[in-house]
Amino acid sequence: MDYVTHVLQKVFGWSREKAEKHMLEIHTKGKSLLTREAFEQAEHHVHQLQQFGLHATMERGE
Amino acid sequence: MKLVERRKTALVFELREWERRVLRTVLGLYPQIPPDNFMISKSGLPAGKADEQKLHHELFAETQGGNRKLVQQFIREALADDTSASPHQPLSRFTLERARVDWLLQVLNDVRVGSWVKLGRPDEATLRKLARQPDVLPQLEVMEFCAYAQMVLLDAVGS
Repeated sequence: MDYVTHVLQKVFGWSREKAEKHMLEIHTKGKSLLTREAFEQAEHHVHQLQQFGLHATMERGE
Repeated sequence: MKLVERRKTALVFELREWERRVLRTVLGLYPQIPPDNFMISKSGLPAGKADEQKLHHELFAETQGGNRKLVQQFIREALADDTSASPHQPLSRFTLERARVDWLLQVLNDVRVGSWVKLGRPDEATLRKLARQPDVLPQLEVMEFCAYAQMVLLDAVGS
């Protein structure tokens, strides 16, 4: 779980508190909406997270 | 395995001999995550972006290929057998540049997650059942050791 927090901080530049909030949501609900952004930026973030071995996907906004 | 010295640009860890050997073995398993393991999107990509998934898998495989060479180099250099060590000297040390901590975390996580994927992505309850199967134990031990080494590294960088 610390690893997930660490990666979220690295990839998004978040505070530990914010990264932990998302990590806990992932841990309890199985997923967390991390960010809403343009296709290319989301693709870049998905790629970074997957390089760290985290299961991340991007979905179209409603 | 424990942190024994913080330098400006590097961290120094002390390992028991068995830990050094296991770390060498575990890192030697890299990569474990199949390059086509991750999808960019579950709901599908927009029109005109269909090739992105294929490119993504190729890039993942390329990164793993580059990392594999670095891992082999790391095993040879940082975790080499110390031929001068006395048999009564059960501890060895390795130095990790701070800039490479994330890289090593990433490699360990690949081996841990990839081992889990190869076991069929078991949940916690299934993992406990699998722990009774001798043929699966080595993979579970690999996962455990990776998690342990990741924890030590994260503690060392204060995460």
